[in-house]
Amino acid sequence: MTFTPQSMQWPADRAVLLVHGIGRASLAGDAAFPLEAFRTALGQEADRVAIYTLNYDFINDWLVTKTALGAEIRRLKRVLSVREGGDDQADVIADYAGDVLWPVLSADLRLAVRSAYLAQLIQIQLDGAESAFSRGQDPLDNKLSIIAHSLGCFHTYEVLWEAATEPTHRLRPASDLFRLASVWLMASPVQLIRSVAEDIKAVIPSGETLATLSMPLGIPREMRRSKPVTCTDAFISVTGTQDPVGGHLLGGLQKWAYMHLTGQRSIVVPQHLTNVTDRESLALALQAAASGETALQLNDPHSWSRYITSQTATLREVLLT
Amino acid sequence: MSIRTGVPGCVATVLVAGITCAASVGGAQAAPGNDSILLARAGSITVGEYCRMARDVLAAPAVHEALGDDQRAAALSTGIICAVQPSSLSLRALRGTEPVSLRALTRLGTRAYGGTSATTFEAMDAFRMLVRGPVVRPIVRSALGDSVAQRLAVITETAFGLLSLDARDAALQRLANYERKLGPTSARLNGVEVLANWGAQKWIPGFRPTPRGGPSPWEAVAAYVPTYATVDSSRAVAVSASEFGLRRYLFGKAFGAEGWRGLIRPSYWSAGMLVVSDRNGALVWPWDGRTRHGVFASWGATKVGYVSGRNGEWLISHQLQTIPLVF
Repeated sequence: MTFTPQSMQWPADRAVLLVHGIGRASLAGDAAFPLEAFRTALGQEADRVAIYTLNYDFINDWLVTKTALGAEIRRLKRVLSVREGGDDQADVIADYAGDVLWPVLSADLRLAVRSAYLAQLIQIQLDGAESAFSRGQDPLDNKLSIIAHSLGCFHTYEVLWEAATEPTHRLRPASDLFRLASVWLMASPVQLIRSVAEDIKAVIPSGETLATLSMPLGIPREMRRSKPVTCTDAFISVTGTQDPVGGHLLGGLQKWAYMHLTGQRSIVVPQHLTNVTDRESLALALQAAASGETALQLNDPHSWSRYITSQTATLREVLLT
Repeated sequence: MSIRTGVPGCVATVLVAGITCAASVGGAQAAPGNDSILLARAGSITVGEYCRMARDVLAAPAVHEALGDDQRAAALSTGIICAVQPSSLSLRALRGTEPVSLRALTRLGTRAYGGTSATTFEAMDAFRMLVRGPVVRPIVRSALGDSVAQRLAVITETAFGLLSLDARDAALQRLANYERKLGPTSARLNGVEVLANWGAQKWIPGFRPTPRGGPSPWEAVAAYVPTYATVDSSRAVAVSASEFGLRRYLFGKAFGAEGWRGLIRPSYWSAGMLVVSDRNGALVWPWDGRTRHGVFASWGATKVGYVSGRNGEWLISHQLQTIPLVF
């Protein structure tokens, strides 16, 4: 599959790039992105926002096919589970950690994803400039936001650091005036990856190219005249109280897994693993179970669509004003 | 649409087919969309216009004052931009994305054209940063008016857009190289090779990918290959061998073909040493009995080897992995 960056005319001065996480976007296509939930959240204004999606699963597929390492990754998950305690909770975390560690262990994979991501960002900027000129506006008045989910947060974090510090990409916040209106990391595993990767540092190739590991975590920035210029003024972390990738387990915040960057806006969504949230609904569920009906519904705490829906007001506030 | 070509990548090795050198021509997949509009506009804006605009902006007292410590840098950038001769050269021609007219060529200044281009675009980039930043930009608009500010935006962003096109195409070229090395036309690795290449990437600089350079073209080969064939006493027999060597990926548009074209323009070549048992046959352990040594070379998936011992034997094989992670 040859990658061609998405290119489109912006309907107005706003655009959003959606970056998917753990999943099978190469098979699911647009269904891997919460487009409906996002459009619903923005309401009528959605038509005025150019929505880009970045799919990098095809790169994962290259490596899985080339190395036939699917079984090894499953083995890694089992090792991680034992290392973190070996109980059910550790199993859950290890399951997610195995998925998110995949790009850490392969320098080729993560740098290939980085190249695709950078090409897409540059293309968006070029599209935005032409669209602005066609409306008689200044491209620097454009507002581009990134909304990433799960593993996409890791790639976003890495790419924004690379963009902020490497001149040849022409995406530095101070020198190239590339500043984002907002960056949303939903269920970010950046801290989780950092914690686990530190344990296995010895086996990580080209660790110096990983911003997650090679320096203290922080909002990506460029230093100009000894002053930091961040890639955005609105760096927003959204996670849920039951989402292990976002650093929570059974309602408890896990410090070693929860991403907390100085200057980030933190939102923690209260979540319930089932639709049973109080005595009343528990009674109803038991009654339904006794009569043979199923009233108990399991909620996916990692669902991207649910995060989008839960943040409708904030999304509208940040993206549309 | 900008396609940058001409990245030379000469490879030289001994290959059975007698192919010793192949030029690797880079070629990024340019994205569709707004490139042609940008390039057309870049063809209509001259360096002279950029120079005049820069001088006009810096001449405004309010802008001059707002620049503060950056006044000298802005003046220096403007000086570099205005030094380009002929000033009628378009931004696109200066960048080298359109042919320069004979007339322009004959009027070029004494400085080398290529050097002028890179330096001038860096100066334009610096000028843009200084006068289009969040502090100075509103002052330019209020001091010089909306139409001048918009024209400044068009000129500076067009020059910057040309740099962005190059950056995008460089990223796409890197990705195309990763696809060549990891994608469907690459060689599958067995478990030993996965580990060997992981070790090589970790400890040998030439095997490491880099954020700006992309993947290393090199890959370690350490395989048990039970699918060699030779002719012994006028009949074809299977030969099992161990291969140790290097594989080099051929980056660039000219290679990486699939199907029968892949025989001529494959994704890689490889070369190294062979270890073969004295006993021919499929699934024979190479160190079984008296061990023979030899060499192999491949052009894509087609492999040829020669081992010493007895009367010497020529072997042929086709690169394939029959059992994932094993051989």
